Amino acid sequence: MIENLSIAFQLFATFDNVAFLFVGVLVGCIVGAIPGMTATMGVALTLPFTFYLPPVTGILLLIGVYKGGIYGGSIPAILIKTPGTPAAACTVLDGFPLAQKGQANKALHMALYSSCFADFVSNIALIFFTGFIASFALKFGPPEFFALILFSLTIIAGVAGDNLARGLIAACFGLLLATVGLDLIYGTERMIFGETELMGGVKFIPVLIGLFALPEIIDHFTRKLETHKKFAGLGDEGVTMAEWKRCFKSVVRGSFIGVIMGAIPGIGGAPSAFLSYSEAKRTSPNADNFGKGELEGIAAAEAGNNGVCGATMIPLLALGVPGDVITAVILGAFMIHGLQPGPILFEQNITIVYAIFMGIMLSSMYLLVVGKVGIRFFARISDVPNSFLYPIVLVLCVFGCYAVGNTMFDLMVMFLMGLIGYFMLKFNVPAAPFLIAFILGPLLEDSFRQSLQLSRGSFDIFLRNPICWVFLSLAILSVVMIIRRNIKLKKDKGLAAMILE
Amino acid sequence: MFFARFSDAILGAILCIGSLVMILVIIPISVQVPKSNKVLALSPDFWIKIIVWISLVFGAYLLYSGLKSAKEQLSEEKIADIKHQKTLHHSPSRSVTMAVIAVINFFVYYLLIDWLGMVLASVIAVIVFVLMCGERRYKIMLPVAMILPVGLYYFFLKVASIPMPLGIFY
Repeated sequence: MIENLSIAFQLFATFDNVAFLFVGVLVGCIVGAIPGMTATMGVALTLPFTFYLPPVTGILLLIGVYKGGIYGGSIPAILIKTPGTPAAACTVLDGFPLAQKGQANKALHMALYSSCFADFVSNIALIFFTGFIASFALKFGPPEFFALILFSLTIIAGVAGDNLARGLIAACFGLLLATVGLDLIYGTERMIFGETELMGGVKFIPVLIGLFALPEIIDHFTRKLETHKKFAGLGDEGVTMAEWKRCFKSVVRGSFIGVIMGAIPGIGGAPSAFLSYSEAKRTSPNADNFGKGELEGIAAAEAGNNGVCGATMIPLLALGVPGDVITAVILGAFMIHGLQPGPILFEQNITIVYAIFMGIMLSSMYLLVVGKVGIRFFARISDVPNSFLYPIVLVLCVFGCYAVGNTMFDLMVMFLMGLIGYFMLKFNVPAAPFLIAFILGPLLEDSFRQSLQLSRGSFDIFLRNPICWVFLSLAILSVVMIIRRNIKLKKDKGLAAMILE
Repeated sequence: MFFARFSDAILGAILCIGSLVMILVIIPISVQVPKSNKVLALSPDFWIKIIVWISLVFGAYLLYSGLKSAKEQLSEEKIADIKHQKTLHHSPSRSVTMAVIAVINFFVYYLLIDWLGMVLASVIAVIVFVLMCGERRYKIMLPVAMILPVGLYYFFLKVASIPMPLGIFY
């Protein structure tokens, strides 16, 4: 253990790692601060730049962008009522009213402190629980992995949008696209239509960039010219110790809510922020001020959404199952660097895991420093007009996508995926289950067919082990619960319409 | 309003047709199944067929529920959402035209990369797309259009050692 830690420290403590992590946090804050750019898009656009970096450096760069992006989303939410990321939507409720009162600086500082605290708590949870879960997962064979991935897919597809069918349809698209290439067992062609570039399957980065960046760009051209929102000013007031102490309970509660919800695949930052906010409102003596510029509301929302950051990495590192779409991208980065997250990673590359943990801890400190020093600069970034932003993003997409594969074919795939992504956007089919299913698809099929090879074609193998029973039952339960939730939602809407009439 | 009312049904119909085309045409043509395979579940097309059949079921469900709900009146919430979207977007016909122009420009950009190389094609693309966004501040536009592609070109060439296509300038 000590020897591994020592090797991991040597692996981590290089100038490149420390510098790229810093750059990642900085880039993440900038991306998050730009309205219209999400942390997912930031991580997706950074991914090609990590291709030629060592694995630890590349992954730390992405983690930095992720963490910076989630915090950065709160900046335009507070200043111009436009959340930079979906997770920051809750911060608008009290952040913007406080900014209107001329206390934007106070709101931004509270968002920063609570984000850093929650992020730190989340990182601790990650370090403590990941190893434990991974050691349990070492007992898993192909049938158990199949059941686990199936469960993850149902929950992710179910919570990705307000319509279960659309989420599952998106997941089916992703699974189908993942089957293109040579067959895993027989090596025969599957849907490649004589195109040799497709023999290894459809590449991850063109799909990722095409799906998450291009549809937004196309959609931007269909929008009317926006009058650019300007913010009044930051003000000079910071957060006092008394105010921090008053909000501390909500920050701690929000951090734990974030950790718990982040560790469950598919939940994500936004529901966690809203739950943390509603709990703070329910228990606060200043409940009446919530929604009118209450500092505790900002603290609770930001703690809730940043508490998720480290925890979403728990299922990723321990089981190889991404907790949300950003961790799905990070999973792709692991794979690009020849690493497979999950129990095997702990068994074979424990020093890399420890080095990543060290970097993750440092990222919380960087977030505090970068956020504190750069608040006024990031506030200016939310002024970047979209008319320049989207063409710049397009060029970044093209360079990044080409750089990874060095082939024009990848660019064609990216543009086609952009077109498909745009249709999905118009038909309200969520892109996140598509991407997650695309990444998990080969693992799911592989474990499915390996299991059947072991049992010589008998499906009993999926019911022989209690672990399989647990995950398959959970998968069925999650589908039933999501169906029930959708039916209830429809009934509530019908009732509301009747009352309105 | 038509699209909002029938979007479920349209999506369902597309899925049903697509799934049937997959089952009847694409899978038999493009998935090679070795004759030596004795176990159905291990066949290379088994997994694909499962996914496509699930898609067909969801497509049929969406088509049915979409046609059923299209007869009902749109909820207040949905009407408010449509009105909000209308304030953000151009008229439907103009939106479609703009989206088509954007997609055509993407593919022209792709062809230009092959012909003029990554840098010059990107310079032209930035200018065209910025103009399409309605921006007319040339003093910002031109430096951005020049510096960004050249900077990225040198980053990938010098830092990552990845040569970018130079087209006719090679």
